Amino acid sequence: MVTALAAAVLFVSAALLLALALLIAVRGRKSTAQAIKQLPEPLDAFLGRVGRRLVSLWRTSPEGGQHEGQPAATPEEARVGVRLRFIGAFLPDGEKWRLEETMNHRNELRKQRGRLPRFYYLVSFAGACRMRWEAWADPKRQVD
Amino acid sequence: MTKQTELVLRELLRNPTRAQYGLAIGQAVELQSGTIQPILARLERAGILESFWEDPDEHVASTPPRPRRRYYRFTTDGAEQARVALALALARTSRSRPVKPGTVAPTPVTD
Repeated sequence: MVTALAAAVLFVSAALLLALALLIAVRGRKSTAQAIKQLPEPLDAFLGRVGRRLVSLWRTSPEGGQHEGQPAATPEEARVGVRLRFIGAFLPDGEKWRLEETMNHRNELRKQRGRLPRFYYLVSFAGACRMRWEAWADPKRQVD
Repeated sequence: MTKQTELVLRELLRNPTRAQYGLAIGQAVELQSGTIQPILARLERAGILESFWEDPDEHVASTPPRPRRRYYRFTTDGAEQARVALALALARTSRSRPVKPGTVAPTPVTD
């Protein structure tokens, strides 16, 4: 499900970026820059966030690591990194440290059993979403 | 209170003064990290539990060295709150499910 959601977000972003690229090709740079400036603010912010997320995901990939002069991550490490970052993105701001705990639990479980329980990442993702929801629905936050 | 929260509280009440780390709690009640974390966060917000990272000397000195652990323990009156909450949950359950004749009714946690 996490992969499907990520794929859907990437697909929508790619479609938007493709539309922009076509606009650049057809109308030229100057008019495209004007068009980008006229984008609604929420859409502009969304594209900015997607761009930053893509860059951070790319940095966890083996190619990204090499580019930054760091030792290249194995494909398995890169996959785990992407999943954990995705889960971390959904944790509420005050609870980001729980990502470290999730990662440590994952590593300990791998060491003890050799494999993770079924749907480990999916359950962690659901837990992160639940924490975010509870933090958002907290009456104290709404009063503040 | 959910069944999972009850399980976590019962596990912690086995030894209310001892701090336990998340993975150990999860393994004791057979729940995954993703289920345990929101429960622990909720109990912390309710003031029943408090958490802290272990002393760096402990995890660095352990053989083999391991990542630091986050420990959870009851606050000063957290254990009492937990017992009351469990007793209330038990009372609610027994009210909604009448005990069949000839069976033994469950008793609240008192330790």
